[in-house]
Amino acid sequence: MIRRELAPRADWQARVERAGLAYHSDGKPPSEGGGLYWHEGACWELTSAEVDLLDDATADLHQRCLEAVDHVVNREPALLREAFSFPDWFGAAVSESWRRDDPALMGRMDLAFDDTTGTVSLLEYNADTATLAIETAVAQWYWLQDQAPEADQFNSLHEKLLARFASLKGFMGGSGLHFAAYAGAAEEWLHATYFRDLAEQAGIPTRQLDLGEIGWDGTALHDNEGGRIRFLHKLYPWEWAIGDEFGRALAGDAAGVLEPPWKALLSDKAILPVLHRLFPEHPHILPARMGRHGGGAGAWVEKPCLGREGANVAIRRDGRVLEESGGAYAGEAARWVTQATARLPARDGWNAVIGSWVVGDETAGIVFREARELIMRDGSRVVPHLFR
Amino acid sequence: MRRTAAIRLTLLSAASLALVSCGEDATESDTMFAHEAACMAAYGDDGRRACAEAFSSARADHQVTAPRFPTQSTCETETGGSCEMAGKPGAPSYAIPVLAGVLIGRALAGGGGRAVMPLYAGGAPMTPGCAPGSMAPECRQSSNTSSSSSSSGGRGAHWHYAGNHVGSTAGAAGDRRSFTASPTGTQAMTRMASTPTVSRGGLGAAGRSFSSVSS
Repeated sequence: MIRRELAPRADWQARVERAGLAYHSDGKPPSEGGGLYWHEGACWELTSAEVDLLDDATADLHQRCLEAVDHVVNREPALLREAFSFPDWFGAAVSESWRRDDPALMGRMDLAFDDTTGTVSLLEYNADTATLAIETAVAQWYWLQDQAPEADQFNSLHEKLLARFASLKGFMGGSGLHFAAYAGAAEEWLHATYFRDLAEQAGIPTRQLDLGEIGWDGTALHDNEGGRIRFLHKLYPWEWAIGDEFGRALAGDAAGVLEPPWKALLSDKAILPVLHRLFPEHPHILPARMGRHGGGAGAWVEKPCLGREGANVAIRRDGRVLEESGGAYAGEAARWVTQATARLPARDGWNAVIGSWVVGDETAGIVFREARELIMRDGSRVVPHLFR
Repeated sequence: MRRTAAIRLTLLSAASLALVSCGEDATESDTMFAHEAACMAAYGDDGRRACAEAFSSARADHQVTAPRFPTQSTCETETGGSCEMAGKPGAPSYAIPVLAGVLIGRALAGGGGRAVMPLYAGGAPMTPGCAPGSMAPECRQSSNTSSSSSSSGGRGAHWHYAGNHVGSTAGAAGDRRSFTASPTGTQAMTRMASTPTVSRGGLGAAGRSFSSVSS
């Protein structure tokens, strides 16, 4: 794997905006070395053997994750309350959703790929409200067409999502699918728009609305035009929904929801210790346990079970903090996991984490993020890749 | 090959361009376009595809989201504009207003996101600020009492509405006009069937103290 610096396309802003990426610079002007979210001044180049390795690891990890969900629901349901802190009604909804085999749409694993040893390790699984889909499926795809059309890219995300929506249509009996997100958040609203675009192309009638516009009459969910919501895609995590007034309504039988409630088990980092306990020798699963490690020996990462965008993470070696991030997820009620450290690929002082997509149960490609730091934050660069 | 063979986008690029194309006219008010040519004239070559997509998206939305009325005459009375029958092919069962263009641009009141919406032409709302046929109590009463005195196309055809928004375009002319949404245009549009009491705002509260939903 190599990292190349190359000239961005002259009109790259207009090009990625046309590809749906209106938030490429997070409101900041492009500048050397930072202030930029989409960054095509560099790219990562893999070999096809490395792509095979990442592809196989992702497929395998996804299966292990499904086994872990099944374990929690059917063999160790006490964990629903003890490890995941679900209220009992939501634990029941999660279990019911899993046993009913509620279909899922997608998820993104964050992987550490130590290319010096060929080791792929799962850092976490964003299985409920994964973004970076526009960046992966559309922006870097167009970038490849313009910059290296003779090369290939591990990126079938758009195609796989389109096929998945076509398959989900079969579950919906002709009903439409509503897409709810925060209308004021460009990244989230545009992601909902992208998914809606795909669903429409798959023949599903859609509507898009702000989360706050969703109505509830005691038995049914309603949109903002007086229509029933029978199927809902929500870009809003389950752990927040269950704290909201309509949380029970959303988890109940009034509507089919993407992602389904059972995904709440995978997007919670409390799944990491479960995975380690079930598959202790697995080559892609890092040692992990509940709680914070504090000053003990060894190299460990502490993260909140429900943190986002790299917030409130601490990396320690023998008790000494090597790197840590702030954030809003370390409140009194926060639960923590401690995970063994994994080596990230580093070139020219840039560390990379690979986001690897799963659509339905199939792998669908990758996207790179890079930062000077080891902890990727919400502002960390998104960088395209190719392979030869 | 392990990459997607071809990508076609319609809603996404239109929505994205609407978010970034904060031209001189897009900040203060929405802009309505009677037809694609007027849209392309305004946004130039860069906007050619987005305009086509905006119109295509609005035409599709129109079929699903247009306010529905039980009969053509009720529809024309309530909207003050032209209406047509719609529904299943061969068995039209309700009336909807005729599509008059698209509304594009500025963040719409309440929603926050920039939008492309089907646009309808009609007369002045029977109650100021009320979208035609609104079921909101302050709108419904007035509508009921005055409906018998209205006729199709009356009340001056210088008003437009889109979604829950009503705007006056009296005095303006041309295929491209600005549209200033009524500040009170937040009532739900009427539908044929009455709905039970629906409460809203029960989702999204828990996340508002955090900066990001996504991961």
